Parts: sequence; structure tokens; C-alpha cells
Amino acid sequence: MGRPLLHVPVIGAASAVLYAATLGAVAFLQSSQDAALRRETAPLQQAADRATLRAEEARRALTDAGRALETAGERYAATTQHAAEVDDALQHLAARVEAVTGSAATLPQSVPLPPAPAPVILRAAPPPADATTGASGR
Amino acid sequence: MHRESRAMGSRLALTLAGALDDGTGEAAWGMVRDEFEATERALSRFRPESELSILNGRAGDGEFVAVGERLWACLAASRRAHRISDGRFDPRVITVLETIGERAGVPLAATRSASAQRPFVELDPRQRRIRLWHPVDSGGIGKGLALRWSAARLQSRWPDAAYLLEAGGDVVVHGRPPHAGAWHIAVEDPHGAPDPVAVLAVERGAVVTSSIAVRHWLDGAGRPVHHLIDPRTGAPADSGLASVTVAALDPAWAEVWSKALFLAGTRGIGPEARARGLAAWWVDAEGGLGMTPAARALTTWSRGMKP
Repeated sequence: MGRPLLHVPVIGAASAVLYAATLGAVAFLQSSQDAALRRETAPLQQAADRATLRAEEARRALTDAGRALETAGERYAATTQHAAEVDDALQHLAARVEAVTGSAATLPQSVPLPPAPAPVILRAAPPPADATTGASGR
Repeated sequence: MHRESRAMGSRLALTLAGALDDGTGEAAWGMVRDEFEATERALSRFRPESELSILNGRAGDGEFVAVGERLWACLAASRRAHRISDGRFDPRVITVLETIGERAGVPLAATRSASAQRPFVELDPRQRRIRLWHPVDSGGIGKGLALRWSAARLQSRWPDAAYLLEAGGDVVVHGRPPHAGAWHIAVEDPHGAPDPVAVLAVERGAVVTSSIAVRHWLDGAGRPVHHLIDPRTGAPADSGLASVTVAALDPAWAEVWSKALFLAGTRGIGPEARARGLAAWWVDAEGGLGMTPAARALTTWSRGMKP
């Protein structure tokens, strides 16, 4: 025994250093692979985001179109109702025209009128005036 | 009381209504004749010694000349009338009248071409001086001013008097005549028919007519001409109208508008008179009678109106 055991701590320290270096290398490799993976999948992620946004817009457009269609339908129904009323009025008018036409057919072609007297032109004399306005120079 | 004589080449008459004694009537008539005489001394172009004739003789010399209040008022009103009638009222037509035969026998300064940049008269109101660039005629506006000033003097002296004042076809009335609500003024037929074309009821103000019924003649070339000159053509107006009558509060402005409307012609007179709110009657060359709504309100009888 008299000789110190120096190789034991040296071997321990060297082992620890080797372990740490190995662990660092493994971490570096893992990080590099993660970054490469993110780079590769980024376009796919962006495309997925755009597709989601467009799908939302399409859904809203479909909702608006549905409402517009509903409004148009209501208006069409109202117009149809009005057209029906006009049609009723026209039928009523046609019936009256037919009745009047029938009455007119019973009228004589001409009616003799009594002779008109000669036209009489009424013209009152002007009332008396206090003065006359007219051309200068008299 | 009724008195009449002549002034400004035409008949001048005053009718006083109501209980005025003879002395008052004569004083009123004297006042009117004095006013017309003073106006003629200032404004007549037929008197060589009038202020206007003297000024016309100096027209264009570029000097300011002190003038009396009547000539000042006449030229100030003429300048304003020229402006607001778009040049249809233009006292410079005196040179045309002299050329076509209505000569006054009073020499005028040599006429110069009118400048668009310069008015025919410049006024210095502080010293009541006038610089005249072209000879001018006082014409109808002078008669209207004489009526205005006479009426003002009558009303100032006898505020309650009812009277009718006539001068050369222009009429001014004030107050109510006895036994009637208004004075009745007949509008002469410019084509010479004995009956008037209309009868108006007027309580206050003036009724003035511009007509070619009297002052027309043949010029040196034998062509028929009259005294209503269109300054735009420099010749007697060929507007299709024979007479225009205007009722207004002031006789001088009634004169201005009767002439300006005469020059508006048969197509323009109605729209313009209505737009300006004037009471105007007009007779065209065929004898047709037209009037504005304001005139209709004053018309008690018109030719063709049913009884």
C-alpha cells in the first residue's frame, strides 16, 4: 500500500467528461433533426391554415346565400299575391268593359240635335275711367 | 277740382278729389307746374339752356362738372337702370333719335364709340359732380322723376289729399277718389280703337305706358320709325309689341321697366315680367292683350273679358 491510487480519480474524471461530451453530441443531433423536421413540415402547416380559413369563408357565404334565398322567396310570394290581385282587378275591369260595350251597342248611331242659335258675343262696354295711360307726346 | 296745361311736350293734368277749397287746389296745381318747370330746366334736351343740354355739349371732355340735384338724380337713376335692365335702358340712344329725325335742335358733343370698360357717366357723390362720356337723353325717366317729385311735394304738404296726376300718358294716383275705392285708369289701345284694352283699379302708385302709337314718323329714307330705340341694334325696336304698360309705386321705375319690357319682345316679356313680379300689360302688333298675374289683380275690365 504506500503508493497513492491516483489513476482512480483520473479514470473517474475522464469517464465523466466522456459522458458529458456524448450527452451533448446526442442533444445537438436531436435538436438538428427537430429543426429539419419543422422546416420540412412548415409549408404543409401553412397550407392547412389557409384551407381552414377558406372553409370558414365558404361556410359564411353559404349562410348568406341561404338568407338571400329566403328573402327572395318571401318577396316572390308577395309579388305573386299582388299579381293575383291585379289579375282579379283586370278581370273585374274586363267584365265592366264588356257590360259597357254591350250598353253602347244599344245606342243609336246618330242623334239629331236641335239647330243651334247664332253665336252671341257678349261684350260689356268698358267702365268709365278717371284717366288714360298711353303713348306720350299728345 | 281739375286743372290741365302742357309740360314736357305733353299734356299735364291734376285732378284733386275731396273737400279741398279752391285756394288749396290752386296751390297744389301751382306746385305741380313749378316742379315740372324746374325739372325741364334741369333735364330737357329740347332746351339749349337746360343743365342736361349744357352737359351734353361737354360730353367726352373728361372733366367732372358740378350739377344740380335733379340732374344728379336723373343720371344716377339712369346708370342704375342701364345696369339692372342689362343695357336695354340706355340714355345714349339720344344720338339715334337725332339721326332718325327726332331732332331737338340742340348741339351735342361729337359722339365717341362706347367703351365696354367705362360707363357712360361717372358720379362723384361727395361733391355731386358728373363726368359724362356720351350725350344722354332724360326721356321717359325724366318725366317719371318729375311725377315722383311732384307727388312727393303734394303728399308732404297735403298728406291726406286724394289726387290723380297725369303727364304725357303716365299717371300717378294717391288716396281714394270720392264714391270709389280706387282710381280707374284706362289703358289706351295702341292701334287706335276708341275703347281701351283694359281698365285698372289703382289706389296708390303709378301707371306708365311705353307705346309707339304717337311718336312714329318716316325717316329720311322714307322708312317708318318710332322713338323706342333698341340700344343693342341702334335702331327702332322691332319687338312685335305695340305698347307696354307697367304699374308700380314709383313712376320713374315704371318708365324704366315699361321700356325694358318693350324691348324684351313678344316672347320674352311674359316670362321676364312674371319673374320680376311686375304688374304689366302688353299689346302686340296684332292687337293681342297679355298681362301678368300681378296685373290681373288690378284689372277690373279688359277687352274680351266676359261681363
